[in-house]
Amino acid sequence: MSRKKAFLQQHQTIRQIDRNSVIDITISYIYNYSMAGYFESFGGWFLSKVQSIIDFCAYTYLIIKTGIGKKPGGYRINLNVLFKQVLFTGVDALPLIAIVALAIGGISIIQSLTFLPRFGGESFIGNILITVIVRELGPLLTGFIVIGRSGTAITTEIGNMAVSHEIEALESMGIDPIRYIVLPRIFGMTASLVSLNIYFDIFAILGGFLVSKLVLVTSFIPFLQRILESVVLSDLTISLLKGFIFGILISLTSSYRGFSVKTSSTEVPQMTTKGVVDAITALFLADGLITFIYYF
Amino acid sequence: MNDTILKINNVSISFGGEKFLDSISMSIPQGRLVTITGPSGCGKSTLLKIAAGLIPPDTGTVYIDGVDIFNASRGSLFEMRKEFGFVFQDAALISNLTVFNNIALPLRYHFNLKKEEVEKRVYTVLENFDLREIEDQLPAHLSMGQRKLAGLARALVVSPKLIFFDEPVTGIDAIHRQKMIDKLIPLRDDPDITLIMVSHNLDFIKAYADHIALLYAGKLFAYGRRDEILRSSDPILQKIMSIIVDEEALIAEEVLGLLTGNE
Repeated sequence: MSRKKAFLQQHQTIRQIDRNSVIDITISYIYNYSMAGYFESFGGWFLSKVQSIIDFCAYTYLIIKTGIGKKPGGYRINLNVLFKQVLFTGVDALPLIAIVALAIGGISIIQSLTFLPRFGGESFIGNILITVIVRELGPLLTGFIVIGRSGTAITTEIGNMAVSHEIEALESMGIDPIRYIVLPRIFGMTASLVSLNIYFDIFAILGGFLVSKLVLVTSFIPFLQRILESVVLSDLTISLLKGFIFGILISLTSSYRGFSVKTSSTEVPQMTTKGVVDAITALFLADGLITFIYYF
Repeated sequence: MNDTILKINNVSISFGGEKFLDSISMSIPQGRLVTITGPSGCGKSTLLKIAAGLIPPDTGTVYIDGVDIFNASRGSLFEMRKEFGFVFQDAALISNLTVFNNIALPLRYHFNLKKEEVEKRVYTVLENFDLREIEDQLPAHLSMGQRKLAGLARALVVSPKLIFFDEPVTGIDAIHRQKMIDKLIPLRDDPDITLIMVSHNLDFIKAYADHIALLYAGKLFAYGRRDEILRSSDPILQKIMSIIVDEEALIAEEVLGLLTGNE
């Protein structure tokens, strides 16, 4: 009898909990889709974004302050980290960049040749290559490849270091993680990106030439002459400037997201994804801004 | 000899709205081995990290050698830490560096030493710790006992005057535990070196600690000389000690269960 009573009581309680849960869920569902709920969730989202931007600015300020601050010793070890970064971001990416650049150069020429002959504009091939590749696609595509290869690697590496207490271990030894981990990566990635950008442009022009040779039977010297005639110093300057700024932005956003990992290894892939999104957004914004300022 | 090297004043910290450490104050005398103990989850490791300046508290201050470390500039705090050592619970060796390079890291970073001098100092420590055989190994290939020994070697290579330990003799096999204790005893006996240690191991605490800090539910329940704490007739203190003993036995039982397959 008492067991039956206990069983009924227990189920009564469970039913009560279930009923309460259903009511709670229904109320929260109605609230979320009401105007007040919409404004509340939008306000929360907006405030979290503002907080993220403030945190990122504080992080950037800390890096600048650390970078210009004096520190006796430690240069040799930082140089070692920097060389490793250049090797990984720059040297190891050369084959991939060459393939992508050859393809993009060739594709640009093929696409141009679908409409240029209609009004006798074959001689504008050089201008098109310079405008499309050197000014825009070169820095952007190189940036995307570096985000995919090295930006994700930086976020993952720093995130895993945070989870396994390696960042704390560095701090406990008096080693500033910004100086030891971040600064060499910023310098290494920026130098690599500027160099890869030039490398991309060369291979894209080569790709364009190979396609032109197949279709128009052009020889290399006149093709190169047309390219060189189309080049103005400002195009090269803007291309290198974009590479420089993109390098800084990618290394900053990737390392910032790495340090955002706190305790759990499940945060690492989440932060890596956020790092990629941040870096791509930053690249497009910076690209748009530089192009607007420079050409208008 | 009995000068205070580290002073913790009214330190509190909350996580997720819950108070984790509540108004902790204690002074740590120079040249002593002070152990912080208490049941699991009472905030021992957090207090240790606050004392080392790795986690800022919500309120309160920490002074090391008279310097308020949480109001010191970032750069001067890093400079101060050159003279500290910290041995983490999981050793926290840098995963992409070999054992040799892990131990050499603080020397290469802080001191403008020639390559030969760095090698000489690292090899001395490696030999002292019987780690020459694994000097080229990455941390992932080492047992926890080897990692902890390498972690201690890394802390000692800069000849620190203040060393923090987080559970140095827990979670390792008997051989490495004995090796670790053998390395800790001379440090304890050195009047220039202060050791602050989080430990669950009451046998070790009873045998070697000079002072004991007993934490319970985020509060400093008792702090004093070893004999004062261990011989106290306070029933609550005895109860807390028995909880620590029970937890230790439970951990040992679980490890035995894992080893014999009777989980």
